[in-house]
Amino acid sequence: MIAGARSLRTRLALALATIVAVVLLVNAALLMLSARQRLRERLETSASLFASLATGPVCSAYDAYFESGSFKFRQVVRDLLVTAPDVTRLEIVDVEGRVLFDSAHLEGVPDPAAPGRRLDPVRLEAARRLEPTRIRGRGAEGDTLEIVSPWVEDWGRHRLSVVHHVSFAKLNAEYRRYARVTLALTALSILVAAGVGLVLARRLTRPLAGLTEGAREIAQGRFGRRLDVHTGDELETLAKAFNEMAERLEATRTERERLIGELERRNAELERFTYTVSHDLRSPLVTVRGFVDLLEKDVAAAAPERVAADLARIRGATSTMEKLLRELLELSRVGRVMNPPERVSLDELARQATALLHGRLRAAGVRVEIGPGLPFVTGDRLRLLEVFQNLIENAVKFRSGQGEPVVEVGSRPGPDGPVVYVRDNGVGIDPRYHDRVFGLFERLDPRVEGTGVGLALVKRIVEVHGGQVWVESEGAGHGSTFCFSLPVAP
Amino acid sequence: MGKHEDRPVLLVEDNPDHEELIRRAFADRGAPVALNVARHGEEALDYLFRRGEYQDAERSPRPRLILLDLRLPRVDGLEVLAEVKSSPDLRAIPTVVLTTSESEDDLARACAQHANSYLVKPVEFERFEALMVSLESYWLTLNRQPGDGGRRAD
Repeated sequence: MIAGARSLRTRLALALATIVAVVLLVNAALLMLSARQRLRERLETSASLFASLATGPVCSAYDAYFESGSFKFRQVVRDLLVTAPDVTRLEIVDVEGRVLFDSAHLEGVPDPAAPGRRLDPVRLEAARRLEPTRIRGRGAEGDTLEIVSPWVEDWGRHRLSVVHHVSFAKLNAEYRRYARVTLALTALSILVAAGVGLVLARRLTRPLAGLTEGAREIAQGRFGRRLDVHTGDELETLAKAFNEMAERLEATRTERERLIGELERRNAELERFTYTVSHDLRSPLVTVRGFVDLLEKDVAAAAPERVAADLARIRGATSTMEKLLRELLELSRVGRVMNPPERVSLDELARQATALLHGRLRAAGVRVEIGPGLPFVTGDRLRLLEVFQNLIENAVKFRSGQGEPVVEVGSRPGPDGPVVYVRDNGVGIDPRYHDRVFGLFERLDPRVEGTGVGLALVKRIVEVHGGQVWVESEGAGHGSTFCFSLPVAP
Repeated sequence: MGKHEDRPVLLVEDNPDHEELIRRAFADRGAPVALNVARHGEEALDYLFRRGEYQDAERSPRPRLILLDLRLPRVDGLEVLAEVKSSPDLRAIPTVVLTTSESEDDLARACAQHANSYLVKPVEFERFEALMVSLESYWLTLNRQPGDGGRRAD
């Protein structure tokens, strides 16, 4: 992945450098061509100007001094040539094509060919014309240029012409220097461009590296990772989309973990339930079978009072079993078989439960007080009625021997809405057992009748309704308060 | 055999029917034991540590054997077992789990708490009886524990 990011960066830098190089090289080539053109034009212009200006003085000096004072003439030619460094050689020719003077032999060395040398037809033709003529050619040292300009005397006679040999040596040297500088600058520019390209590419790809890193972390399951890209371009958009994805993944995972946790909890509950049920159903079975076997012996031994006792125990165990099975069935129906939810007044339910338990309450001498302000909830009316029935019944069972037993039903504000409570002044529950009282078949006092299903049923009903149930008690002798909270009806 | 008063057994059992079965099983085979019954874990601990209503040592003779049910009201059997086995004074008392639970989990937890034996209550009375007789002969007759006095080999 790192290698990919690097190669992307390198490729970007290379592409940038190549584009810059091509542009610069083309530019340099064009510059050099046009410079060469310009330099030649300038040279030719200045050479032509020189030719037009110098022809007169040279020819008149030739006329005046060549025969008599050669030294003076040479001085004039020398002075003129100094002013035009690109004109390297002058020849004075007549219209017959004879070469009268050649500056190549200016410094005293006589031209051996001079007396007899004649111009070739092209130059002769040029020498005869009344206009200056340019003759281009190629020599051993490159391009050559000769400007043949006529000397037209004041009265119109054309007798002599001057052949100016123009040299490109200086121009070429200058051009080469120019080309070298241009190429050097171009090369430097390309290098700079490559460097800048590399830096730009790195800057451009740095968020990509971050994205890659983040993607890898997410792939490894660390969904908490967020990308911090603020480039204001597509990369930032990508990073945002990436963060959204991570967020959604995280939410999904949290939800999944919650569901798994819930499932595990349910599973454990079910396991516990199965275990409890098998254990608690086995118990009366042991009793029944044991006393059936004993009954046989007692019948054989003709011990009628023992027979009666055995039968009573068998009857008791079978009715316990029957009750257990009925209550288990009831418990399993909660959440599975529900009446359609409706808006229920808990005040009404508490009164209804009290009325249903009227006989038992009166027998035990228990007074029930129902406080004001019990909320309305949405749920299964009959199940919620069972909640009150079981809680009030529980309070009756565990009333203390002293004082008038009172059960108080009321509500108080809680953190998640109102909390409904059923408070008694009974025996109370040691805080150690506060969790266990809601367990299936859990009984704190074996002397008190019951199967230990009532509070488990209450817990199940409340939880199926999305609520919670708990008990508050400072311990034995302090009474107990069973509390539950349910989502309030709108 | 000595008098059965010399061999007190603490039965921790919440079900009176099972208590009666155990009594009859011991009695019918002529293996009398002095059965002291605790109805729940808390009562068992009160008895063993001589607290509450069992402060009087007369009422709570040190048992030679503890028969312990697991599912008990309040403090359950495993908690009682843990308390007994972590008490330097009580841990020498053989503690036999006698339960209806065949759960592997309960067995493992009881063993982890150093139960001396783990027995499942049989359904048929014949087998129940046989089990109680074996129990009596092994733990109360054959098995020796500190305080019995060493018998020198002749």
